[in-house]
Amino acid sequence: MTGETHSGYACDVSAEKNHNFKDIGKLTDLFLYALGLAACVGGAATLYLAWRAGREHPRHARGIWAGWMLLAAGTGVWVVPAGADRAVSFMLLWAGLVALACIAATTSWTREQRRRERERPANDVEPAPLSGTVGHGIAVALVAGPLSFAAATAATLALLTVTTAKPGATALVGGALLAPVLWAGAMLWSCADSRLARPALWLSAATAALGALVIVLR
Amino acid sequence: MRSRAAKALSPQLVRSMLSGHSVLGLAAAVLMYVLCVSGTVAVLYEELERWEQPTARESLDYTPEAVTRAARAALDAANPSVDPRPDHLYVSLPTPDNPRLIASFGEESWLADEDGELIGEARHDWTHFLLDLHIYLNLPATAGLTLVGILGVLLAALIVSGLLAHPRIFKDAFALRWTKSLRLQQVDLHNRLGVWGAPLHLAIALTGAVFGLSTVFGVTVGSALFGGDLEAVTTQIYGDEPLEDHTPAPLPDVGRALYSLRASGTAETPTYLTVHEPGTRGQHVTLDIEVPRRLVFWDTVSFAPDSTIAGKSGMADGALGKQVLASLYSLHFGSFGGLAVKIGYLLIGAALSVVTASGFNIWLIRRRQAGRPATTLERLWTATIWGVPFALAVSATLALTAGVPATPVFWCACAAVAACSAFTDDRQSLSRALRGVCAGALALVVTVHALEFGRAALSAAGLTVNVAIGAAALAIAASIPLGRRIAP
Repeated sequence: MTGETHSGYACDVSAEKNHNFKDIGKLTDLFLYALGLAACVGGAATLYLAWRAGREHPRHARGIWAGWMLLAAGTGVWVVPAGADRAVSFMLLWAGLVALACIAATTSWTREQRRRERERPANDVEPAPLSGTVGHGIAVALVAGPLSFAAATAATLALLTVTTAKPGATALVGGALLAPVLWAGAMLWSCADSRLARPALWLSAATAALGALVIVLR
Repeated sequence: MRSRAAKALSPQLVRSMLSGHSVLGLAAAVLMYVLCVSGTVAVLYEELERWEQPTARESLDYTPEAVTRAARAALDAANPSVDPRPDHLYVSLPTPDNPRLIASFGEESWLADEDGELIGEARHDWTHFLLDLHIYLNLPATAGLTLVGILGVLLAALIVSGLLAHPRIFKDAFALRWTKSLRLQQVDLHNRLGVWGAPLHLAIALTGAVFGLSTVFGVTVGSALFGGDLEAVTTQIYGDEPLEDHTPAPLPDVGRALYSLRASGTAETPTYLTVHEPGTRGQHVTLDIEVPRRLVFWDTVSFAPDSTIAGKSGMADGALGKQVLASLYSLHFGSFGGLAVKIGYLLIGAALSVVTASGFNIWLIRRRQAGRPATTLERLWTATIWGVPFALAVSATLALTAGVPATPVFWCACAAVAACSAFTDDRQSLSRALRGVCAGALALVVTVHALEFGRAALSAAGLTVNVAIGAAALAIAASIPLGRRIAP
């Protein structure tokens, strides 16, 4: 085999024999990718048409149902050539982009703007007023940052400690995914709650209790 | 009739979520925007590496002997003053996405021909700056990585709070009232791009958070659960490293690993050969391989000293956690479906950048409507929105033409645009002017590339990136007339 080019392992005899089958396989894959894409475009477009028809339209519910079914069917079709994990990722990507394309294609971009600067979205809810003091800002940052991080980490460690004697790869990666999710939740709570003392107290208590649990169980 | 989502979300919850959303967004807007724009461009990092040297020889054909030759030549050519004792030698094998044979030792990299002869330095300085900006914000490694991880957490919180603060998520699913008031326009733009992009935006945020916080998480878990043995954490995932023996030894025929891989009957394509502790008795070879039809980015095959297969890391077929970990990278960078998916990721990344920009705009408009306009902040934000892509373009131009280090150029250009914004009170004029400057700078990158490399700028190695930059320049230029109506 010395000196043989390596790129495609193309000199393998059995591979030569299977060449035609590979071509057929590639064509089938191509067809399935196209079919999945068609279902994706059709699904997003159907959702758009149902939305445009309005809630009162008799076919609205059927349109919404059909749109989601088409998206699910497209994902199913893509599973064959791409595998399940990639098929779902493809659909998350392309369904969103096709929906945005529907919006872009049907938006009036050029009509002169009516200058009603005070016009607001329907049901627009004003956020709670932000406290302007520097002290409050620092307090929010401390609760949303270090304290939320500590609580999220303590919760993750406690879960790892309780569920496994010695965490393996799955537990560790699960923990690595869980910790930022918990931190994001705690961070959001800290910033959203009008009474900062509430998340501060609960997160402190959780950190202490879960931290103690980890120490006791190790 | 209130929608189901509106019924489920009480006004109090929406109000709280919106407050949290505002606080989080304001806290991180600038750095988040830098990450979004740099991450969008970084989707094309393989193409950018080729674009920086479009005249380099490209071929998918190589022999295992050529790989050995390239590895040995790199070991000989390495300059000890650049990196005294690198512990890894890499050979990047030609693949359809990057059909170049590249040997790297420490900080230095060389292009090799089909026979493994080194034919010149591999210079990907601007691409490496871009990755450094996106992964570390150009800060020292651990601090930068952790800060980026925290921003990933913030982004995840922003996405969740944004969805919870949106009671009309279904009712307005396709509504973009562009010609209505500025506030409505920006709210619709923010919500539509945010909602339809949310699944992937959330995936990108969480994967970024996991990467960024990996060091902190590893140290914490190692200290708390493995008695301070930090290596034990990585061993659980990546397996044991063979014992080190630094006694000097000649580099073996590392290419033989490729023969062993082939003899094993695998259909997987090798992408990366790594020699650990090269030139010592403890040296050993691993091969990274592509896993077809999977989201997992790689699996690693390790080889015994006699080049027989010693084992696999199990990233593709081992514990679920390993498979998930190996999939995070593809999900973050969009490297799981060729150029089509990369284009999709460019669009979804651009959408996230617009969501970030419009989010801050909404807050500024609200303040103005409440009679408390933040004029300086408005100007600075406009300067940030257009200054970041402008600074990337300027840094690329100077890197291509004069080899100027991109990091100082980028940050100085950002600062210069921010400083220039102080000379006008008219935000819309500023916005239009900066759009023009930004589009011009991007067009200049393509022009300079064409002048520097001639026809190679239109070759497979140069065309993708040049088309992408040209399209971005055209899109920004096309938005200039809209600048009369839209902010910022």
